[in-house]
Amino acid sequence: MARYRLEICKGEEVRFISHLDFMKAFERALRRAKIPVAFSEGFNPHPKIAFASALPVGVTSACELVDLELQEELPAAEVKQRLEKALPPGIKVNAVNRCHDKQPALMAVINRSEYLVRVQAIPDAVIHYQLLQEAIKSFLGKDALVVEKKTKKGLRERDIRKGVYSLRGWLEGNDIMLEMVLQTGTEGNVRPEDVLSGLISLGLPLDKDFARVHRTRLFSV
Amino acid sequence: MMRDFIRNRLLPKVLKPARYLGTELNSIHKDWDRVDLKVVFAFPDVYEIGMSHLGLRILYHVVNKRPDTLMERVFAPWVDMEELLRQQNIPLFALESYKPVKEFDIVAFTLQYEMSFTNILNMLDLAGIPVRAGDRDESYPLVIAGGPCAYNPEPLADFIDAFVIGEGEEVFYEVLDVVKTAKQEKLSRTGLLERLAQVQGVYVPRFYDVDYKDDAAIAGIRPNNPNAPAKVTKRLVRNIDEADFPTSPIVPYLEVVHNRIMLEVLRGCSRGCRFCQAGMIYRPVREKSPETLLRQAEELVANTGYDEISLSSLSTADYSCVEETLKKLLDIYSGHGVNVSLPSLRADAFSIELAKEVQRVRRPTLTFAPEAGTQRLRDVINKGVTEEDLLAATGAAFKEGWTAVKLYFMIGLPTETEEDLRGIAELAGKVVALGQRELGAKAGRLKVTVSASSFVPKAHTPFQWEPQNDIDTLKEKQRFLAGLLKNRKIKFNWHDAELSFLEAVFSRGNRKVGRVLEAAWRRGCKFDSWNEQFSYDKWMAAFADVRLTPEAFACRRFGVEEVLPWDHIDAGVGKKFLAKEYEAALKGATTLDCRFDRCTGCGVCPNLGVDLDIKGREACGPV
Ligand code: SF4
Repeated sequence: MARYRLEICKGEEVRFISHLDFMKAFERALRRAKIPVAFSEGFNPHPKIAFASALPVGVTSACELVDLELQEELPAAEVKQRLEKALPPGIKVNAVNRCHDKQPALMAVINRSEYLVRVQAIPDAVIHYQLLQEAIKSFLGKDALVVEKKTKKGLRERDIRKGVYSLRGWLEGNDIMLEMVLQTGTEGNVRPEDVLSGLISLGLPLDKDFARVHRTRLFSV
Repeated sequence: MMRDFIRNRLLPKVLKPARYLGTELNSIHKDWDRVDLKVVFAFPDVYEIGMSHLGLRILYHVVNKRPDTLMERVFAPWVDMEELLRQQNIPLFALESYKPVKEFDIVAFTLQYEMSFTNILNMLDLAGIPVRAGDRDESYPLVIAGGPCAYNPEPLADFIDAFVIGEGEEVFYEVLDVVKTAKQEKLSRTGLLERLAQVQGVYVPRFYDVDYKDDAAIAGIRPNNPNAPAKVTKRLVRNIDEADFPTSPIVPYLEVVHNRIMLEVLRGCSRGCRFCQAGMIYRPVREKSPETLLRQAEELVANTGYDEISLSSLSTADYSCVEETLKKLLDIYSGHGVNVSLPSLRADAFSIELAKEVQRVRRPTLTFAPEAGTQRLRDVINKGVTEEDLLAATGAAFKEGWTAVKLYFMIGLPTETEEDLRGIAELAGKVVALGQRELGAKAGRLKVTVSASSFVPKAHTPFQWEPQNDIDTLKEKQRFLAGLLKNRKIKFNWHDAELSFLEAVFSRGNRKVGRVLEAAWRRGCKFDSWNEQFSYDKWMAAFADVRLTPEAFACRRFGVEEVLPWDHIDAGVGKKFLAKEYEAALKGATTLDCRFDRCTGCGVCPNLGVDLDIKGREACGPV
C-alpha cells in the first residue's frame, strides 16, 4: 500500500456538478487511467479515496486536496501523467505527492478555505467603492452576524461571524470582487454565500444568485 | 453567447443544473458547419431517464460515426428550467452545441412510454416548432419518432411526420441518406415524405386515410398515396453479434437511473408471456457470442471507468452462454472493483446459482415476477413459472443469506377472479413463512416486497383485444389485496390506477385520441408519469373538451374480426398467431418457448427472412 496526496482543479466545465458526482467522476478517471486504487475490506468494498472538503454545486476550485491509497508503489510523476490523460474536461491535476503513511487524514486537518467571489449588484442598483468598504467594515466590526442558512432540514438561522477570518473587497468594472478566508469542515463551516447574505443584510444590494465562487486555497492553522 | 447566458443566468437557478451541461465525457461535439445533416435525439423525459436508455447510446454512436451527419441530444427540461426558458424567450436547445432544436434537420423522438406523449408536444412547442405535422413546412425540422410505442403510432399520427418501426441501427442510415439527398435537391416536405415512405419500416401517417365506424372503432385504413405501402413492416438487425455497439458511451456527471455499463447480451425474448409487448415486437431472439461480449466489456471499462457492468436484455438468465460469460467477466473484473450484475432473473434454481456468482462482488436485490397468484392464471398468461419454482428459488435465496426479495404481480389480468387475488396473498405468505424458517436468527431482517401493477392491453400482443378493468375495479382490487397483505414482513406497492388507465387509452387508441393529447397538453399536462405533476382532473377535462370517452378505448373488448388501429403496422408476428394465442389463453393452454422447443409459428422468422440466433447451445449445454 502506498499513499499519495493530490491537488486537483474543478473548472468551469464541471462547476455545476455536485460534490458526490465530482468524486465519482474522479474515481472513474482513476479507473480509466488504470491506476490501481486500494479497496477497503468488507462486504461492500469501496476505493480508498478521500477528499479534504466538499465543494458546493456551482463553485469552482484551483486547489482541491485528495488522498489516495494505491495497491502498489508507483512513481508520483507516473500517477500524474496517467491521470492527466484520463480526466474529463474541467478536472485537472496540479500535483501528486507521495506521502507518509502516518500523515493524518485530510478531513481532520483542513479547517480553512480562501475564496474569490465575483458578484454584481442587483439590476438597477449601483455599488460604489465607498459603499462596499463600509459594508465590509461593518461586517468585520460585528461580534455576531446571524444569517439564514439552507440546511437539509430547511432554513436555519446561524451566526457566521466567528467563521470569517478575513474579508476584502474591490471593484473590477461592473463586478464586485470579494476575497475571504472562511472556516471549513464539519464544525462551523461557513460558505461564501453566507458571507454574501451577511453583506446583503448590512445593506449591500448584491445579486447573490449569480455569484461566481472560486476556491483559491485550502489550509490548516 | 447563448451558452454563456444559459450557464451564468439560468443554471444557477435550477435543480440539477448538470442536466443541461452537454460536456460529459465521451459526448461528441462536431463542427456544425462541416456536417451536411444535423439530427437531434429528443427524449421526452428528464435527463436521468433518457441517459439510461440504451437506444440513445446506440443511435448517438451510429449517427456520429458518419462524417456527414451529427447527432446531439435534448431532454425534456424539468419544469423549473422550462419556466426560465419561457420567461427569457429562449427556444429549446440541444445539449452539445446549445443550438436551437429548430435549426436541426431532423428531430428524432423516442417513444418509450405512452405517458410521456404530452412532453413531446411540449418540447416541440418550446422549440418553436408547430405541434401539428400539417402546420410544418420545409423550414421546420423533419419530426420523426421510433421506439416500442411506435408499434401503435396512431395517437401521435397528427404530430409526427414519419415513424420508424423496429430497431433503428440500419434503417436510420437509410433515413439519413434520403433526407440528405432531399435537402440537396431542395425537395418539398411532401416530396421528402414520399421518398421516406418507400423505405421499409417507415410509416408516414399523412399518407393513410382512416374510416371510422364510431369514435373507438375503425372501418378501415388505406394508403392515399401511391408511394405508401399498405402495410409497414418492422426493421430489425439480423446479426446483433456483428452489429455496431458503442463502446465509448457518454458518461453522465449526474446520478442517472442506469449509471453503469449496459452490455446488451441478446435481443428479443420468446417465452411468450401473453401481456408482454416487448416479447412480441423484439422477436426473434438473437444472441451475441461470449467473445464479442468480453471484447466489448473490456473496451467499455477502459473508455468509461464505470464500476459496474450490467448484462442487459429482456431476460439475461436465458442467454445460452450466461454462466460462462458471467464467470469470465467476474474473473477478469472483480479484482478491479468492477461489479457484474444481471438486471433480470427468472424464478428458478438456475437463477439463484447465477445470483450467487454475481454476489462475489456485491449482493443484488432478488426480484421474481410470478405475475399472477394462481397456476390457472399463470397458464392463461403463459408465465411458465410454478409455485414450486418460486418457493424453491426463494428458499435457495434465503439459504444463501438473502433477507429481502421482491415479488412482481399484475392485477386485472384477463379472466382474473377473487381467487387469483387471494392467490397473490397466499403466495406472498408462503414466501414469508419460508423466509422465517430458513433465516432462523436472521428472520428479523426478512422483508418481502409485493408490487402489483395493473394490466394494460398492448398492441401486437395476444391480449390486444382484451379490455382493461375500469379504475374503480382496479382500486377495489388494490384495496382487497392491501387488506390481505397486512403482514409486518410484507411491503405492498401498487401502481396508480388512473395512470394505467390512460396508458391503456394510448396503447390502444386510434388517431382520434391525438386530440385528447393536444387538449390535455393545452391544459398544462406534462411529465404525467411524475406523481407530483400528474393531474387526472385535467385529463378528464381534456376528454370532455374533445368529446371522447376514454373507456371506449381502454375498457372495451375489441372484436377479433375488428380492424385494429395498428393493423397497417406489421411487427412480423402475425395477427393469426396472436389470435390463436388469445384463444389458447382463454382455455388455459400454454405455449412453449421456441428456443427450447420447436417453432411455435409466430411468423416473424419466415415473414422477415430471419432466424433465431442462439450462440451456445452445444457449448453450454441445454438449459
Ligand atoms: S417464427 Fe418460430 S422460431 Fe421464429 S421466433 Fe417465431 S416461434 Fe420462434
